[in-house]
Amino acid sequence: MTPRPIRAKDARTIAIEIDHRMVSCPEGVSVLRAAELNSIFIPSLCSHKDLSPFGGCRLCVVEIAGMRGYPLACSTVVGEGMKILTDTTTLREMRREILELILSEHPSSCLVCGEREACRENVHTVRKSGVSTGCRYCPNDGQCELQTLVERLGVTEIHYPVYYREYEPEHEDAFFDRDYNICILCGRCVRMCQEVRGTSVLAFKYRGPKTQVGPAFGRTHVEAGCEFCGACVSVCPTGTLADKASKWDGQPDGLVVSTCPFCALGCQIELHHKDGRLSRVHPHSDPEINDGQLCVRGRFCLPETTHNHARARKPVLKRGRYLREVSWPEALEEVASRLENLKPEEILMIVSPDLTNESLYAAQKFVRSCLKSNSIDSTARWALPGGPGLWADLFSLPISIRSIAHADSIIAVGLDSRFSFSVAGVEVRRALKEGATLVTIDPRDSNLARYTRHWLRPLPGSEGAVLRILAESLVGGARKRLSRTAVDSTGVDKRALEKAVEALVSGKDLAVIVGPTAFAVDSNHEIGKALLQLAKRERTTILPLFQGANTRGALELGVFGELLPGLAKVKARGVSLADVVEGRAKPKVLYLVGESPFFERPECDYVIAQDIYRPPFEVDAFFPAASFAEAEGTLTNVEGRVQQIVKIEDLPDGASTGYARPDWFIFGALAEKLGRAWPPFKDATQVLNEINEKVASFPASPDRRPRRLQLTTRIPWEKPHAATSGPDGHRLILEPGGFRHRGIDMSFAVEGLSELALEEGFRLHPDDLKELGIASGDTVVLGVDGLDVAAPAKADPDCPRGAVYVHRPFAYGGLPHRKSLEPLYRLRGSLHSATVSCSGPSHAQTAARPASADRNAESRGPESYRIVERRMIVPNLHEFTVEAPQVAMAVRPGNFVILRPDETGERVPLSVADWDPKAGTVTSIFLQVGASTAKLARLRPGDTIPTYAGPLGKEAEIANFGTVLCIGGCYGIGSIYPVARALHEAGNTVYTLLEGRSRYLLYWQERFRPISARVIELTRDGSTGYKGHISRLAEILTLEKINPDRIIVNGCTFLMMRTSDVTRELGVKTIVNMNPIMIDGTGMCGVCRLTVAGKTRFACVDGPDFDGHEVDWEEFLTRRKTYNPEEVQPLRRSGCASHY
Amino acid sequence: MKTLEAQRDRAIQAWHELENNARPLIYVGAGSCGLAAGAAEVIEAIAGYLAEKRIGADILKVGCIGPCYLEPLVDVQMPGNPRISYANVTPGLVRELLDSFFEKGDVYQHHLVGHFGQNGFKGAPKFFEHAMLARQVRVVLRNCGVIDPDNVDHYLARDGYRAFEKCLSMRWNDVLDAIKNSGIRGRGGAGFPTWRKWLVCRDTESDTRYLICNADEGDPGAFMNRSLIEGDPHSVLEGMLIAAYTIGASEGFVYIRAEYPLAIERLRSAIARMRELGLLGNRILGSDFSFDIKIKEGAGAFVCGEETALIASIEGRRGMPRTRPPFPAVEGLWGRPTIINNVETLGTLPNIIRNGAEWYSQFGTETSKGTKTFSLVGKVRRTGLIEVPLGTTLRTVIYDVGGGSVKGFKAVQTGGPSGGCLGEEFLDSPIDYEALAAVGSIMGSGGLIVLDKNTCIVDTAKYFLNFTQAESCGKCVPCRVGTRHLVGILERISQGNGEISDLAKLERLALTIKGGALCGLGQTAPNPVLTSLKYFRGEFLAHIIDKRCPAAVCRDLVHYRIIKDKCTGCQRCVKVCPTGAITGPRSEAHNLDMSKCIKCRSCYEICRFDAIAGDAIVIESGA
Repeated sequence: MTPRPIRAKDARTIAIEIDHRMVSCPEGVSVLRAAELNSIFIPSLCSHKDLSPFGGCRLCVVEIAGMRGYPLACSTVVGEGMKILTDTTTLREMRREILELILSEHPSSCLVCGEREACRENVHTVRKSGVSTGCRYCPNDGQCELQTLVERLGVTEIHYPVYYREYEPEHEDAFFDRDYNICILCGRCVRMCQEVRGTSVLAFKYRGPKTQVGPAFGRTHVEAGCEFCGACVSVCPTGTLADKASKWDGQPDGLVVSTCPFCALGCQIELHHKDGRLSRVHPHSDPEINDGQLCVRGRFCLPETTHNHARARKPVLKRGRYLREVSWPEALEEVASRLENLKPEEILMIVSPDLTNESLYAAQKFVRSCLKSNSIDSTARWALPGGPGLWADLFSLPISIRSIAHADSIIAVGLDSRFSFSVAGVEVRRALKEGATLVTIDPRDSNLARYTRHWLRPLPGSEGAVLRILAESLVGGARKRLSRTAVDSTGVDKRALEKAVEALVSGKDLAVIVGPTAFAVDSNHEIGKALLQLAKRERTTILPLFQGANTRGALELGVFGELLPGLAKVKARGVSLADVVEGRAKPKVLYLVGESPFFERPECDYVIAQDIYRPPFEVDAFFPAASFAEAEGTLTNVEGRVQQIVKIEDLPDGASTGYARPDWFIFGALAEKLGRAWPPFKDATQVLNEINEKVASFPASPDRRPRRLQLTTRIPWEKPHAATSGPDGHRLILEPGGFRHRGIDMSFAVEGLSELALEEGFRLHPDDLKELGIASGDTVVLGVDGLDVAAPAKADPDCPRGAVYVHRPFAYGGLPHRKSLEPLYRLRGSLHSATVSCSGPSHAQTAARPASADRNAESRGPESYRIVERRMIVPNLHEFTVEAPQVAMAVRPGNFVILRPDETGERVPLSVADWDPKAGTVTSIFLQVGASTAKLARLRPGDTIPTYAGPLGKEAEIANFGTVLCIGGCYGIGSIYPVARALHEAGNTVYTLLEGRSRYLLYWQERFRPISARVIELTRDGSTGYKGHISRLAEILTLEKINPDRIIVNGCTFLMMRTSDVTRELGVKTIVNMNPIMIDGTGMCGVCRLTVAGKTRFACVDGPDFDGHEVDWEEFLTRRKTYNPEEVQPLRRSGCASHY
Repeated sequence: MKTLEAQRDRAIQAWHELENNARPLIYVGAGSCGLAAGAAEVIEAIAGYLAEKRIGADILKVGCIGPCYLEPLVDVQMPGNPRISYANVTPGLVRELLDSFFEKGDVYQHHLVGHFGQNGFKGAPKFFEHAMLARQVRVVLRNCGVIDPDNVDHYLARDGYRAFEKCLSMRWNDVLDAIKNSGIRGRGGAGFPTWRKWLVCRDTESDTRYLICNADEGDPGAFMNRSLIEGDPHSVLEGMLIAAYTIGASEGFVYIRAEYPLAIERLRSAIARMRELGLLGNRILGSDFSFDIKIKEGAGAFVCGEETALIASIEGRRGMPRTRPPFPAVEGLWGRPTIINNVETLGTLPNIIRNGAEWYSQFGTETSKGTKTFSLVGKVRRTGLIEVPLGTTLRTVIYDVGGGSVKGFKAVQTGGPSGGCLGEEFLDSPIDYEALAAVGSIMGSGGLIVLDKNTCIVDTAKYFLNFTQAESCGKCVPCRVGTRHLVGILERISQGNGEISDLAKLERLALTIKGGALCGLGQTAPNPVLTSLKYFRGEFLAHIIDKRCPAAVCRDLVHYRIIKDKCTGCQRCVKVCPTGAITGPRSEAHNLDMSKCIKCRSCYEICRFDAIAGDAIVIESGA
């Protein structure tokens, strides 16, 4: 039997013996799990509680009485009375041996280095590198399961040569980096992707020592259908897979469970925090909703959304032509004065469906009781075609997310779950794995359509009609013959429909999922009717999906003018958003709460905005609202669960942290300023209490039980918008889409999302484009309803023929061409007929110019320097040759240059490693270690940089000293080369010692040989030359019979410090090169200040060479650590160095 | 119930007519071995000859009859004469050969191997008394080279499908008993008693059971399964019917590597014939038994011969083994009980059922019953496909059947890359499962690679390890990383950079891999190293301590020298040297410039001037 994860509490308990101890465990679990339940440690790297046993790492070998050899704890099922030994000498020996084998394939020199503690203490900046070449260079340092195990099993030596695989680290995707050089092939990611997510994007490729993880057949992750859910990243035991945004944050301080604020599924998430700030998000294994799974937004986009540099954190008032940051009292004072004495129709408050229940309730309370108006409206209305009446009816039906996985028949309508609602997609695939039948109704190809044998492909807009036909067949009792005319009008093949019905009728548990696009184009409320009808069938659950995280709450809590909290009707409904958009009303004051449903400032006297980002147009007053990370509250999910949002960031107000306040709090403060009655709410809980008093069905505290809406009176459905239909036009589908949150498109704040927003523009089937003579990327003009709208066209093979898809995002701003689409957003209804024509010459025939050429043309200034060569010479170290004739003419050994990777980049000092005055080129070796060097590492030959100044610094002292030992480590191997060469030419006997953690990190031996009496190698893991650290220097000198008169050392500060320590005792003068600590290079910034022989010196102008015995290393190393957190910042923010 | 009797009677009739033919009949060995040796061209030449001379004769393409080193084999059977076999027939020889029969009416005397008659024939030897064949017992190979594999009537005429029909009249447990009593054990290598595996499968409750024929023969130098399928596909398929009937399987798969196109073609056509005869499909021959066979082509990964990897491959997943238990007999293909039997095991079954368990168990030893086919290859005079009773000694196989090595026997590698290297002292040990395991090797599927004195043990071990490390699926650490390090150490030794501690390292690592690897590939991969270390330690030490390769194979340890006294200046080596390292005028002793020599061995191979004694160019090893 294969061991299975046991969830059921009623599994029989059996008795077994582990390590001569009688213990008990549930029947059917693996030996590994049984041991774990009894707190007995068995090492393992490939097993994972949510995944099937793999048996790849072989570390969990145990001995079991009566079983041959060494069975694996992860794949052996316990049996009554089983006698297991987990820690015998043989097992320990085997495990150590196997672990050594793993380490010989993993850059692990740090693990076996005797100096690792001191290194961790003193060498801080190495983390943040592009390629992990050791633990100190690895984002997972301190959180690595392999590291922990090595320490626990006490492996201190690797008896085998260490292989480095030399793969190019993969940084090209938006959300996580992959460095398969450090992969141990445990297969957790592959199993996660295949077994749990059901997507099979990841697989094992190739065989033998070339075995690698990745999408098969050389596809990219995007091509292979990766959902970027990050589930693989979460289970990776090493640093192979790492979040781009938080990879250099290190171990988090802790985590709290909260609710994802991005959609109405309400997934439970773990917020990891570091230094009081949100660092990263992991899924919570909550069995009610997401069961340890998330989508790309929840997994990767939360920190960026709340931390983005564009966050608006201070109150702002318009003063004349300018916007001024002001204090809260001042801002409240002015806004209160504007709100006083307004007639009910002179104000309109527009509220986002992403606010918490508390803020929604407070908003309507403020408008209704303080401003005595019913002029409040929510953009939630846009997500609810058919109006509140229809949705109130739908929310009264049994809605369940978890039922999908247990259903044996599923109907999915108009849903692609790749980047949105992907947890629902996981549930569907989970059901399919158990043998469920899936019927997909979608004009478009989608990730769910790919899993079904019953893909019904109606004309866009006919999804509802098809669903009704299915509903009739499934609920009507006796089987009816399908009406041919009804079927024909949908465009679905009758035979396929019959087969789908046939497949569905035998099912017991039915789940129906409907995506937002299907609702949007459903011009006759067919879907609503069909769902009501289907719900009459027993054992049926539905899952209507829409945009907006708290739309359900918005409906219940009175932010629609005509409905009070609890869905009570109001007679005087006030001004609505539609009134304003369509020009029927012109209120004096607009109060936008978490929403900016306009591209340009709407026509009115005074606009107040209250949000986490400023709207894309000018407002008169802006209140900074607290983000989901900064305030408590509750959100109501699609099932009616009232779920907690936790305040994780509680930093004091200040210039950098800002002055944001929860929305409900701001309304209270305004009420106070207006002198209106307002309960003294101290926290969100008190607001929720009042909601509970006013709305009987609403809980008084967060309650995760699903809650069907109890309707006392029925609210009529809105009149449907008839679809406009032209004689021979394309069907234009305005679909809800984009990655919205609180009125902004998140792709504006989270750069990675804009890379996933592949669907921007008009999407047509490639054949349609071909027929029209349009190339993908051409600007096309769409004629619809008398409007002409221009935007780029995109070939999308998922689209049906004769249709044009375009996003009607509920958020404005964001991607550049959105604005040109604005007229479309004002159209009523989502299904229209349109004509498509090409504007200007088509690019269909002309070849696209390479993007890099464009980039060069733009960046090449009058004084730019051309890159001749930039290649990774050994992992993380780049050989970098620049055309700079003046520098090449004047440079001397020991000099450095200062460059900037781009116009906005910081100054980077690089030691010169070689030069060619004839060719006018200068070569340096640099270590990729932070944001700026990451930028450098992206340059290609032919690219240019704007600044390349030098030579700088004093040249190295060159004379005939006799015997000189040149020590180079890391980039210093390159920088010491010209010094060694000059010393050799000056008549010295030069010995060279190259130091590195492993043989694959040493280079240029062949350059040193002709100028050296001997080239000595020293590696931490002994993979070549001497084994150990520079502290062995004295011993090596004796063994090699070298008596140096002078030692010169270039490399990391730790190497130079340690060398100085050793040589002080030997009494040999030692010169160190302090280049790595410079920034400015002109003596102005003072960063490279250090104390040498009791005097303050600047490395850039007084050095970079100093006597190592005179440097105050202790002071120096303390100073070096000051800006550690700041150094990580630029790497975290997407849009800066997000690709490295 | 329907029977095949009528069909069989007709077939027997036709077979007799063929045997006592009125028309001349020409057999050509057209298995892969024959075709590789040029059988296709020979057939063309024969057809051309017959057309030209307007002779009404039939050409019969048969499978491999065994002595592959004699291919292409062409047999001529004139009316009234027995079938007479000729070896190494080239297209150029065809005219002379056939002229002798058709023009002169004589038996051609050159290239003669033997005749198939019962009695003596004009002084020609009997084919089956040929040195290579005399000691063999042909059970599973009885039809190979005798019948046209594409003609099911030939198979029927030779009692084909009689065993299966007999099974249909038996209860499944009686069939199982017969298999049990025969003592046959899995011929794929592990030697697990076939009946026991079957019983586990049959006893596991399930709605469906599967049978898989493992034809993923991947050992370098092994071709038993290929030859059997090419020569007699129906015997394997009949075996599948018998196995499926016994275990209650409803669907069968032949998992065969795509590199065996001819075998696949033969199988396809054989399966089509079976369908015509009603031997596949629903209610076979009117019984309650329904069964069908599909062919699944493997892409040639060695590990896919491992049963769990093979199952994964059929299921459409990556061919990667999983831990056992559960064994496939309990949880196999698509989670259902599945039996995987080797081609040879299945091919043997009809013989057991037809002739009885006792008949079969007369061959072999106490624990290893029956006969076993081997691919006898390497540095041995007579290479080819052989079948001998288990318990036959290695000496009999290598010397009597194989004729020994030209340059002196050194060792034999049994069981392919998973087996071990056994030296002279083991020549008298019998070939059976236990005896081979006792000395650290395995039976394997039947590869026998003979090494002679010119073969280096370190180099051979390195070759096999290189193979297994490249073929590792990469899943488990000991196999993926461990074998790579084994190769690394062996490489170091063969380059003369070995240290004495490397031997201990090799042994330690080999044992870790053996004990720690997930599947049979990894667990047996170190066998070549372990056995050669055990039995040929001296040769390793020579490499490490003396920096010398006794067989003069390891390139870094050898150098070439011209013996001036022996060199006649014939210039052959000068011409063949790719780097111009050998110079010198004709008729004068040549010079070899070692700085230019790349040790390609060409001069050594071509130097045949042994007028005085031995070669003029020698390879010497050592510092």
